[in-house]
Amino acid sequence: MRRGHSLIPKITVLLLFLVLQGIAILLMTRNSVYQQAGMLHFFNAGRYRVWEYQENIHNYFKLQSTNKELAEENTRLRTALLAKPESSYQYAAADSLFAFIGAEVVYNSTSRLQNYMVINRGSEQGITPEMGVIGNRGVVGIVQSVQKNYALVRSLLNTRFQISVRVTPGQYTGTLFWDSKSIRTANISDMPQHSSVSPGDTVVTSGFSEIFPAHIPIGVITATSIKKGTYMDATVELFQNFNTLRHVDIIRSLHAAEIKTLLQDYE
Amino acid sequence: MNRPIHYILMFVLFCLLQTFVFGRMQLGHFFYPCIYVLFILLFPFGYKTLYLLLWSFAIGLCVDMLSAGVWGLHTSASLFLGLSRQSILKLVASKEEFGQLMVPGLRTLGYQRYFTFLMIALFIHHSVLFGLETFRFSYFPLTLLRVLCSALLNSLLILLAQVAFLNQKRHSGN
Repeated sequence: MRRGHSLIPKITVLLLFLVLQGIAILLMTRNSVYQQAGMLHFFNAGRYRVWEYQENIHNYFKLQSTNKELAEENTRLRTALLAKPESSYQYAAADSLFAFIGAEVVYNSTSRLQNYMVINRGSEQGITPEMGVIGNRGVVGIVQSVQKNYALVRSLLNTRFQISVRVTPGQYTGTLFWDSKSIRTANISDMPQHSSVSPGDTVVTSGFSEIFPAHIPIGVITATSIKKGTYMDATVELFQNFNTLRHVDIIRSLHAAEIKTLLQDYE
Repeated sequence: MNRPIHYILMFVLFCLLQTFVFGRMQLGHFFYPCIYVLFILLFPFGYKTLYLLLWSFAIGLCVDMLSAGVWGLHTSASLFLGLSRQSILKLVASKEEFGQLMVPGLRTLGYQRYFTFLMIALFIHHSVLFGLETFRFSYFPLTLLRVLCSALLNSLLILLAQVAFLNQKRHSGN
């Protein structure tokens, strides 16, 4: 029965082909000129719904990259905020002396005494040693050495890490270091005995070095004690959770070289 | 595949596969997975070209509707394939094979002939598809490379599908 294709004149087949091809070409031309208009409007509504459904499924697979994009956007926004002197944002005190470079943590240790992390930005992206690294909640570490596309960061959770801090609202300064007792706490030493520091005060960077701008959050004071009758020590609970650290920003000081030259001359 | 209900089921299956699975694959500029072409190639040897044109038009339109891009590209390419399928089959199959109600496949044609059949069919389909998409002669070498790469990829995909479903077909064979 189906063998009878020869019974139908070839011309009919060709005619049908031309008619259908005509419709296809009509669709092509209409679509490129009147994207939203005409007889396709009805079909478009349907296919938009199908796409939305497809996109919803697809989005689950894109969650990771979306996350990354948002983190990159954060970096951009922070940089933009820095450039705006009248901004009420805390980092703005640093004016536009610093810029941020976003990076992902590819390796992170928290269980040792000397903890390090590796980030996926290096000399190719303008990273140099002695640059500050911050996470979404505060200070994370300082770049120790760089490769082409990766950098080794000395974590705040490293007994060789030290940073100059300021305790607000009192404005007393001291040195913060990790006491290696817990990954959630650190210590401040060298504060004057008369400092009126009390639990609940916030610890931020002092801005005394060219590594970190001032007022980057670090943690909150939970306890204080007088050591040897001369200095006050304080225990700080860190804001940053180092175990869930994924995205970090590297702080590039735009005037670091200049400051370094000045200090060399002085010495 | 020799009853209308089979055609309709296959039609829906290939539409969904193309738009939700293969059309979603991002394999770069040169490899475009295009599995729905198999639907047109699966009709029996002696299937009337007149009806095949209607089926080709329908599946091309459906794929156009469900995938992003200019309307009519797949429709046009499918129609060209529908029109030329019979001629390509005549190149690779003998007269006796046409008499039977058999489906052109790996089992009926064998590796060599089926692969030739696939490459020619996909070359025609992809030439129209990519040619209309770029719509410029200055891109001819690039378009040709796209056509050849995609044709090769899809031939292998279809061969894989044939190998995977060979046993199943034998059970429901005619």
